[in-house]
Amino acid sequence: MDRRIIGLVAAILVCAACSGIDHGDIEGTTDVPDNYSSLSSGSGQMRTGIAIAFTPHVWTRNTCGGTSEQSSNIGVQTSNPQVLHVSQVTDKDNQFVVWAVAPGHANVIVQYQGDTAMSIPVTVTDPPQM
Amino acid sequence: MGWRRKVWAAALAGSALLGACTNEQGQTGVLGNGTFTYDCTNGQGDWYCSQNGGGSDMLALPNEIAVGAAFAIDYQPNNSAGNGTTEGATGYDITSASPQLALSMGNTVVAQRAGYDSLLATHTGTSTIDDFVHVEFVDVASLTPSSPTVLVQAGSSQAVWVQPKDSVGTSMAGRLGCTWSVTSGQGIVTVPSAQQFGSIAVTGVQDGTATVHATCGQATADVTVTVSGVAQVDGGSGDASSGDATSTDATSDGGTGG
Repeated sequence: MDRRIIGLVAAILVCAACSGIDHGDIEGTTDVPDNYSSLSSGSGQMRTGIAIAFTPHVWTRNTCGGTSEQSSNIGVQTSNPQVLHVSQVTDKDNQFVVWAVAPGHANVIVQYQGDTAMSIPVTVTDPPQM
Repeated sequence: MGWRRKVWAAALAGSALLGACTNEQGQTGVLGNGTFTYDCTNGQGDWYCSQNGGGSDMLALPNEIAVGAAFAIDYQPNNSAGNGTTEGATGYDITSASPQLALSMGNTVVAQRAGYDSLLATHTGTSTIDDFVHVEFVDVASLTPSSPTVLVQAGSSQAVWVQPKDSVGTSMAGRLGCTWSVTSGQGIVTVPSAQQFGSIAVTGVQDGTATVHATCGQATADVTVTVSGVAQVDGGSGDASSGDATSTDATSDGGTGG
């Protein structure tokens, strides 16, 4: 009996152990006024000057094949601050704002504990000349 | 009896304070964390300010702001209850999302090119974003004078201003840097020689008709000023400069006006 219980506890602990990032996602993107700019988990296109807020999510795998969503230690970075800036929202651990600084290409990188969970390619272009 | 009066006085004072704290004209930020208002404290020459209460600093954000114009934006975070704004909140900077769209310092912004720009509110000294709004910058297509003809007495001054408008005739906000000159009728009126915003005081000197020309960026406008009826001026020298930085200048580019 004791061995079974120990074995069961051990199995649970093994399953609960994190074996890596499963996937990331974003949601709650805010509206834009230009009918052009957008940001999704797959890609983004933005006009210079536009800002979009969003909430990232990260799921990790456990050793038994299940996944669990992480609620802390999530960060967001930009691959090219000349093109895109990213900053956290004040007093909101899990809400970020990305804004387009200049034309070009950059990736919005969602990380969990410093490891990349997802990378969203974003293209920034100038507003059309009137 | 005394305590009842005190209670009423306290209630009235409280309601007055609540009224002062409530910003009914501002625009809630995209994140819902605070309110943005158009600051007209230094709004002289800004048509939008003059049409909406002059020196008020609690105006709603305008639909369009002229490219080339300067303006100021205030931000107040929600109070702890999340309803209304914190009275007297200070220490927030407004930053343009892109220096290509606008330059910003403190709470002052200068629109650089047409398009939508995000104005980001950050507490001074921090890097996190409290909230943001989008504003639209539009190229100035034309200038419309406050009145195409102005009457002024010799020895007195009359305010003249121009409204920047977009390509479909919609008036836009912002303080444009404008150059004013007298293109016909030199000696009849005077205008300030230094660059001014969208409004000036034209001073009548002697009877006659003059054309005052405004150039704001690529756009121009003419105002016909008729001077008649010499006002009572002591000394009779005729050059009735009324003090407020108006200097005689009708020669700077008199030959180039269209």
